[in-house]
Amino acid sequence: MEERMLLKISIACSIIGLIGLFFFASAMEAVVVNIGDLTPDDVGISTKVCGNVTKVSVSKNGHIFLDIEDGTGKIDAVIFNSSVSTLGIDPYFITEDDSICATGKLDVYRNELEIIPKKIEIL
Amino acid sequence: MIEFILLACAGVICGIFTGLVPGIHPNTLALLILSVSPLLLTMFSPAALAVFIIAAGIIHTFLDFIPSVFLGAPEDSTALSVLPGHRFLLEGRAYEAIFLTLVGGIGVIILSILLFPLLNFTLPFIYEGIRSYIAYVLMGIVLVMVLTEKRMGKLKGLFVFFMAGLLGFIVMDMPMLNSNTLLFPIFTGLFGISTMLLSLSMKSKIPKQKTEKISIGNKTSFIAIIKGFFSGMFVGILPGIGAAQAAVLTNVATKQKDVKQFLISLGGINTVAALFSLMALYLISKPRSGIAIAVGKIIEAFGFDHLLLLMFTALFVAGLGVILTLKISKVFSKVVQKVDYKKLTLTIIMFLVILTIVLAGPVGLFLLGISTVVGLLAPLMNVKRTHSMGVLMLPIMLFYLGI
Repeated sequence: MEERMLLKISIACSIIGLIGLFFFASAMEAVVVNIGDLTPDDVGISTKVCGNVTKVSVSKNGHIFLDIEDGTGKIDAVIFNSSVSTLGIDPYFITEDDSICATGKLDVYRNELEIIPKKIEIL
Repeated sequence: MIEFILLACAGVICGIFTGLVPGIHPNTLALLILSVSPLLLTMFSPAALAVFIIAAGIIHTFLDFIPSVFLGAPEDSTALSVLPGHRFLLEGRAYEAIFLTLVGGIGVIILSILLFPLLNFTLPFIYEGIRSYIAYVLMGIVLVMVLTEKRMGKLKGLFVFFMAGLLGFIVMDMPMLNSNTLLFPIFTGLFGISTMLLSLSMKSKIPKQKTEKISIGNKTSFIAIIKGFFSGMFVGILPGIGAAQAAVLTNVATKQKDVKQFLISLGGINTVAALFSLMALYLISKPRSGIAIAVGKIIEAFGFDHLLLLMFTALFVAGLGVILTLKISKVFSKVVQKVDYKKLTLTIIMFLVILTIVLAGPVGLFLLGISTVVGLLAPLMNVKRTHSMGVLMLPIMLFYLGI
């Protein structure tokens, strides 16, 4: 193997790697889903929902509970106090009627679907 | 999407820095990123941050042979390349030595990706098979390492192993030390500064370096890549084993004498170990490197899609790594004769001392001094430097033995 051949192989690797990176990065970016379309089969999947906040409550321990509605349905968003600093915004400033997008894993609590946001954007 | 590409490129830049500066390990960078991850995660997604760490880690494994070969300043994984590397440098063939490690690095990345479907099924079984015997496997490795020494060297090797092990055992129990920064002064002292201090005493004249018409036979490359791949798998699965030990063991097992093959294998082991530590994180839920620990903590549910994303990131940056390392090596080959070697080495030692104080404080500086003394034992006693890996192996053995 000569230097020229090594360079050719390296360039080919970089191109294939970039295509793979591009493909898997796109697959990883959450697509906005209608709340009404979510089912228990989606539990554990990273999901992004957008809608209006219809209720905000904060527990004694600092956990925040949001109700998000988008016209197709309603879902609870549970923000644990441990994740407050990593959401991208201060969630204590979220109020009713705010339009937000929440990205996180879908979970089930007492037979109801809920989202555990990892990221929140105020629209 | 752009976020991922930009962070991969930022990782490449960081990897160039950590690779070229002796003593800075990508694990240090990964753990540093982990400590500021709450802030970074407000700006970037966890997967994108993991892409950054892997890009830096993989690029590092290509570039870290440059200081090892040109300056004689290695870290644990490249320590064994110093002797053949320095020999190549004194023969005006340093560029060829680097070229050989790159053939190994890119070769094992391609092989890992091609064999991934097979590894996906076999690796958990292999790990399950040896899990209960890890302490004994490690003991066997130490024994083989010691037996590779000649006559009295066996006793001297064992002495170095136990001295380094004692250092590791005492230090890892010290409550005032942060485990994230603990390893930096230890490895810098054991493998970095101790080697540079010795290289200061050498008065070799560096000849003009040849950078043209470099080549290696395809068959030699292929055999060495296969050896590097399996040795790297070993490093990725077993705790406490470094690339250098794996290279020595492979040499013993295959009775390899060819220095070119040895450099190709070592280049491969170094890179594939980083990749296997990620596979181990996904397949057996055991992070086997600082990089894998950081990735595992940043991405809580590390899944198959994350693994594939990071493997393609590795492939992308590995290609860049080869091109960059060849270019940078050519520059080094041109300037190495003109540089005041003594001044450069002293500057690097000063830099590492300052970095130790910044990262680990006065305790770190004390550890750096002790580790440097322990690191000098092996070369002064004429035994392999890899016995100093006892610093990790002995505490791990005792842990698995329940002591």
